[in-house]
Amino acid sequence: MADWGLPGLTRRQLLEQLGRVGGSAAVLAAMQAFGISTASAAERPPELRGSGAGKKILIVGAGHAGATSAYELSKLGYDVTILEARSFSGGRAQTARRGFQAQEMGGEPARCDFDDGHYINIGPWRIPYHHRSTLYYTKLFDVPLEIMVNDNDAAFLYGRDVPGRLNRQLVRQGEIKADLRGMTCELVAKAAATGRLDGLLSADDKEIFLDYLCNEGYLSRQDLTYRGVDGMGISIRGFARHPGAGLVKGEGLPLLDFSDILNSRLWQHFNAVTEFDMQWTMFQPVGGMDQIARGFERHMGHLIRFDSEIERLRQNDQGVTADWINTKTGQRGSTTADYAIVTMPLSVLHRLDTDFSESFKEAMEGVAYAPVMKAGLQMKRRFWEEDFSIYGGHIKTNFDNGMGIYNISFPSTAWQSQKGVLLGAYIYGAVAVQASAKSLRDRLEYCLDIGETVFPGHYRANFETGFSWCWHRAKYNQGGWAEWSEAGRKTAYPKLLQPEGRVYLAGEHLSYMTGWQAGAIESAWMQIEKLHHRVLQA
Amino acid sequence: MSKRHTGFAGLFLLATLAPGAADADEQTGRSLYLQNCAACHQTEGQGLGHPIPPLAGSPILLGDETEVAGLILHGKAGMPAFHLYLGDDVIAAILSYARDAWGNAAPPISLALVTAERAKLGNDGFRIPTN
Repeated sequence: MADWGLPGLTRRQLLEQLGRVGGSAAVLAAMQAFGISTASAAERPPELRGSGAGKKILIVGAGHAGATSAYELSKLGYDVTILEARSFSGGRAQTARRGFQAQEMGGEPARCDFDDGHYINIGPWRIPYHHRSTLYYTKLFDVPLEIMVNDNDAAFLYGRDVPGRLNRQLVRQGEIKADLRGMTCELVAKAAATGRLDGLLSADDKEIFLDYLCNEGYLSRQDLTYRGVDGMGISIRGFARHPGAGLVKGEGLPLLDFSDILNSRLWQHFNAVTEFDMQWTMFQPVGGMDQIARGFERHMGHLIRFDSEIERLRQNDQGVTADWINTKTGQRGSTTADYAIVTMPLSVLHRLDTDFSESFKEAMEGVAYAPVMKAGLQMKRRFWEEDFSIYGGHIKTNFDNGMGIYNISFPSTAWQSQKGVLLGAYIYGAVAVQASAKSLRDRLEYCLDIGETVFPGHYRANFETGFSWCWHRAKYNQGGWAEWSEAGRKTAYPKLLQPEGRVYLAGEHLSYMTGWQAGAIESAWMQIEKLHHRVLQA
Repeated sequence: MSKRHTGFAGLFLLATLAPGAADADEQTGRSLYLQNCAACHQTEGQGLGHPIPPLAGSPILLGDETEVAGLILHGKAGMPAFHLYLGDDVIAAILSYARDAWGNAAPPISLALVTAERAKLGNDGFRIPTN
């Protein structure tokens, strides 16, 4: 065994040893000393010692927060039971595939009829590299991941009714990006060269700045002009005729007009992947996001009591009692435990019959939930790949989705196979509410109309079957994710982080990563650590 | 963003200036209600049972004007916050309609009141969701 300072001990080995001796706090302190940024606030479960044997824990909800709590607490010897209202686990981390059936409140029964092997992630669909907590469990449970192409310069931008010549044109994002970057660099370079930035830059820095602008924007160093070509005169932004064998040198596409680009406002799409949450490439589980739930189930599935909808929650100084109804058989029963972890979304939980204090009940009402609709469309031919050379990523349009953006997203799996399910709608807010008022068939028509405008002759002709789902109309969710206001974070949020008697809440709503799986997992880690310390001190 | 907030302004203005404005108001209010609320609250405000109670006789809808306007803007108890998506004129039209429909008989909500409520929002920390 190596000593602390011994050469050959890797940073990770050192941290692991520190962890064994000093727990997660020592590891975090050391990592900060190393200057390592820990992306997720927590990247592994709390290192808990001592036994929970003899203590019963009731968990409500078998989504990631509930499954995480159950898995970690049962390892400590706790006697854990999960009540899950649905007949499957995973909560919102759900995948619709052939045979998947669901019914929204006030809606028609919906059934997914995709061909075998095809699916749509109707909940979360991408994992950032820095969500170490989510990636901790995918690794632990052997859930294979693949790359999810979250941005693709070959995918089109489409502006409907925009001023200028880009109106209703399909333009590859890479072309607009290259021209916007080049032309902006040219403007700034010429301003710098003619002394208009003097006073903002030192003379020495100005020369380096010009070097940078020429490099960044492919400007000619002689006249500081952007022509969309590299030093060899070869197009950097795409070809009308691609370079080929023999004498086929290729023919670059003409530059776009700067004013047209500005006026189209299509540039508003470009800051999306520069957000911390978003990357050009992200991860997705092979075969669907629900594979994470299957992974959890392999290790704690025996603790879940399915089809068990909680109707009432009561507690006293001895324990917690949940009354439940089996939604299949109508049978009622009660489960008593020493403590409870309730992971239902606040949008649903606030209506549960509980004996929580008035101030806690009020806090549970202090948050809004996002209306969200997703629709998957099965296409009999991957025309986006075969005819347009678009492999993954999103078509970005200015069709209103309440945010001025409507994307069509292509599957990052089964490349070059025959069929594919694309994400024909992922809409929020009032537009999601409006679309959700339509019949299932009309929702698909709404998606197809938009797609057909972008891909005339292809979209409808290739469409076979679709599946839409609205989280705000899902009985056990009533919203895609919690939307905290600043005021709510100050008043209601801190109350909900504290246990209400013997009841702890967990879920994405109790994190600053709302709507992300990591938020659910890490909130569970936070609460089980508190609960376990309390048990040990009792 | 600003475009979204005034998306229905023309429609609503037209309705209020036209002769027979009361009928037109009601029609506008109803169509905006159907578009933006009926998916959950249902076409006649009947709600969806336990999770979404009926709007006929709803104490919240018929109660304090600033509170109900604030509810649509901020959201509450799982209801969406619509301030990102609906203009003040739309919110006023919908509320005025619903407060007078299905046997309800509360006075309308003015555009000015909704605008004043929105101003109280300040920077409320919302951002466009990107999950």
